[in-house]
Amino acid sequence: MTASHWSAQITAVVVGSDKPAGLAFWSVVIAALFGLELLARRYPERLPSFASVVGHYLGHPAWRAAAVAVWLFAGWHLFSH
Amino acid sequence: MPDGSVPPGRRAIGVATVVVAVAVAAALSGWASGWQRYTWGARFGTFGSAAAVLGLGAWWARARRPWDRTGADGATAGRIRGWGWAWVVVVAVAVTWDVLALLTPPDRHHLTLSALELAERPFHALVFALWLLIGWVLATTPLGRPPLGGEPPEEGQR
Repeated sequence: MTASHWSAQITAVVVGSDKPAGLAFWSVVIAALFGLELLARRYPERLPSFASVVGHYLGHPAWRAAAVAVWLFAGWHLFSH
Repeated sequence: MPDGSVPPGRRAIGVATVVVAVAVAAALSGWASGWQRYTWGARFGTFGSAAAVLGLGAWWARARRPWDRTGADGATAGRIRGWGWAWVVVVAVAVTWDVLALLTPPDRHHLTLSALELAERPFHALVFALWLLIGWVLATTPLGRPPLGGEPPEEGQR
């Protein structure tokens, strides 16, 4: 039993390994991110905005530079690679 | 403004700027969804967009007035409060999914973000717009926020 076998089993059980289900999952993730941002603006005393999270965890220049590097790598991987 | 509020004229300019920026980002994302991978056009387009976002973001962060520096949610110091871990949970679920989908055998459709946005052009445009937005936040959020835990609670709130 390889890791890919178990991965296939898990994804098959969860979503059936079809493209529409995968698109639905990622759409839900993106909607959740925007939903959290809206909630953060509605209830700022309870939930930080994405910018607040970035400022909190990535306030040091080295961490911010690392995050920008990851962001650039993601862009290269997703859109030009 | 002595009370720290935004002057009406500047607010109108701000709204117009946001509308134009959203329109430009949407048009750019639609255009980007048509780029062919492994081409110099895609590379120049991607990293040119990144340079524009980072450059404009850095300029915007420097040009902002003090009333903008707290952010739209009024947070003064990037404090993680209450449900802040919800952000971490959503990202962790997405990363876990992507890793698992990466291991999917070749005879099944990969459910990674990259495979799906490659297969569906509208989804590609959506992901590109989200990528631009994340870059904008990285570029415009000020450095040097307080350490984890934020400010201590005020007297009477302990």
